Amino acid sequence: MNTLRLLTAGLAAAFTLTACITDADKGVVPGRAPEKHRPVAEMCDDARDSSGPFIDDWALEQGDYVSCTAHEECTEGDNGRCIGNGHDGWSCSYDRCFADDDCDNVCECEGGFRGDFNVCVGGDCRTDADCGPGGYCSPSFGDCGEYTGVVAYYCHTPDDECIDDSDCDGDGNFGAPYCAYNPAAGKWMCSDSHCAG
Amino acid sequence: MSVVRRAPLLLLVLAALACEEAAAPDAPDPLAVDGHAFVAEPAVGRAALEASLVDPTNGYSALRLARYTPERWGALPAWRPRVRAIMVHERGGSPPTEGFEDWWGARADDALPADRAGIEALGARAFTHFPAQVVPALRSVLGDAEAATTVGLIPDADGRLSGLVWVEVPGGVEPALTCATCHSDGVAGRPNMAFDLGAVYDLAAQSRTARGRWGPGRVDVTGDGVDNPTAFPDLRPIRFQTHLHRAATVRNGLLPLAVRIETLMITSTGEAWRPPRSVAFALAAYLWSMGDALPPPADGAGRAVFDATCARCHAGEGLAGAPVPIDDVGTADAVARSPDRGTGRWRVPSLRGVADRRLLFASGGVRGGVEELLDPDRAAAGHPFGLDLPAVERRALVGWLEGL
Ligand code: HEC
Ligand code: HEC
Repeated sequence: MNTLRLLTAGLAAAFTLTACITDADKGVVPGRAPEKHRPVAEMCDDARDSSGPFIDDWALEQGDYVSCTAHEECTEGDNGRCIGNGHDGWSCSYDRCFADDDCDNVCECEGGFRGDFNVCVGGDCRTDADCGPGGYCSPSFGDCGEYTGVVAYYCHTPDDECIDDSDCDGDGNFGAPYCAYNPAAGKWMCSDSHCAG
Repeated sequence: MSVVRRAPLLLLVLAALACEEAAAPDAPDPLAVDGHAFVAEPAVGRAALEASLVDPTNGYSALRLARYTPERWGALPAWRPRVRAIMVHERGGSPPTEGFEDWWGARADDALPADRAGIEALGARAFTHFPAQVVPALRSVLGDAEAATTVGLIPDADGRLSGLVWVEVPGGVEPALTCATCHSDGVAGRPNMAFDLGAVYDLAAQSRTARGRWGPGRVDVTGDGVDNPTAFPDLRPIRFQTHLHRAATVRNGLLPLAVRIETLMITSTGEAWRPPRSVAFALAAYLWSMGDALPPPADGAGRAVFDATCARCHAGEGLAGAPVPIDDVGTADAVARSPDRGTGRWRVPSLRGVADRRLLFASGGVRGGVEELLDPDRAAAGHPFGLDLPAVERRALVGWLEGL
């Protein structure tokens, strides 16, 4: 895995990145590959953890907070498991896909929220090849922050204000900004946004 | 922005306000005067911000004090996107490629209609058409008519779906919430108790998360690391509120409200855009006007019970009052204790318009209006006031509240 990463990074560095960002403020090094991108589509396996569920007694008293108590109850999809934790409650989860073709866009292996199940995520690319010669297709968090993890894959473009999280230190006061695709701006930007209200 | 440069304008504003006090028959409308000062001179908004923050150290205030400057947020591009209302019959279809409206014309950032009626009309338009937050996750429910209904996206009188819009963004089209999506159930300003944004996110993520437990009518608006979803508030009595936010973050006023709306719209675009200042002010003016439609408190037996039991907190024309210590009320308090918006106190909310408000308390813990609030057996904890009233008095009080 590490060797593969190094190899990809090396290959990527050999290309001239189309995104040549000059804004000195943002400290972006031009011509660098994003830390995370998708050179090729992967198939996801169908293995899932079948230990548990370990549900606290107090949680069982919280009404709809616990909507299953055993894996066997989860029969409405592939590889059902009853998963959860004290914060989110317990509910059934399923592998929603095993390959990109099961989805409109990308099948994110074990991308489910706090669980090892595969889910479909949106965006505008599946692999780097969709982003033009030397382009990069990277996973991004959603518009309400990193709450549910990766929600989509988007191409990088010359308009981007960051390549990856290392460009987004923030000013130390307001959360830990990350580099995410900003759907209102149509480009990658450092972000610490949260829901409206 | 030097003091020298802004001084003439402030003088102008003061002069205009002075005129108003003298009540000269052709004096300019103070609302329009405020508005034109606000859109012309960023220092006016900045001064309103500084004067209105209750606790400059909480996250909400610190962020704004650091970034609501001409150099930072003032330098963001003003957003005037083309939009298209999402219609009920479009549920289940794919995003449109045409029919987008450019309702901005060529108007400049600071072009505000001259008079109150024009300003309020612009605000009303923005309330239902300006994208408050682009939410790609909505695609997963818009693609499926049944899911749209499940998450409480409801048809309005014009055949629109809960005020949603398609918005043109660089590189494509995305669905977005407008103010009306959360803040209208058909009556503008009254909360859409059915809308379940957490369920939208869960459906898109194909996962069950804590957001799925916000339930309809609530959303966690703070990035403070605390699980503290807040009920959509009733905006109709906004001008009667002493403070903005349940946690009393901002001392209320027309200009602080305009700044609050402007900065909200900046943070909800991930600081990519700012709304034109004319739109931020027009929205504030529009919300300010909503109180006109609310009936004034009546007299009667119920009023006497209210005065004896409730008026030490809910007082005056607005039936609102100075914020009170959190522990004096005892309701679910995660919202009040937010490190982001908290001030150590609860706002005492205005009761104007409470008659047709079902969702009560910051937590949304009461969903059955004042009848449930004053039911001694209700499930929601706290706010014990009036629960021990004799039945006759309680009925009189409920009757009076239902006339508001
Ligand atoms: C996702 C739902 C949502 C959207 C969209 C939304 N709001 Fe709100 N709004 C809320 C919630 C929840 C609160 C309560 C926040 C609090 O009390 O801290 C709130 C609070 C407010 C307040 C303060 C109300 C009070 O009683 O103190 C105003 C004013 C307001 N919103 C105006 C707007 C405007 C104008 C827009 C459109 C630009 C908008 N909102 C869009 C959910 C929303
Ligand atoms: C000690 C001050 C105090 C007294 C006395 C008091 N209230 Fe309140 N009231 C509050 C506060 C603070 C809240 C907000 C609590 C929350 O959001 O959790 C509130 C909330 C409410 C609400 C919900 C409003 C909304 O939109 O969420 C209603 C209705 C209400 N009070 C009515 C009454 C009535 C009727 C009485 C007398 C029987 C009364 N209150 C007495 C402080 C008070």
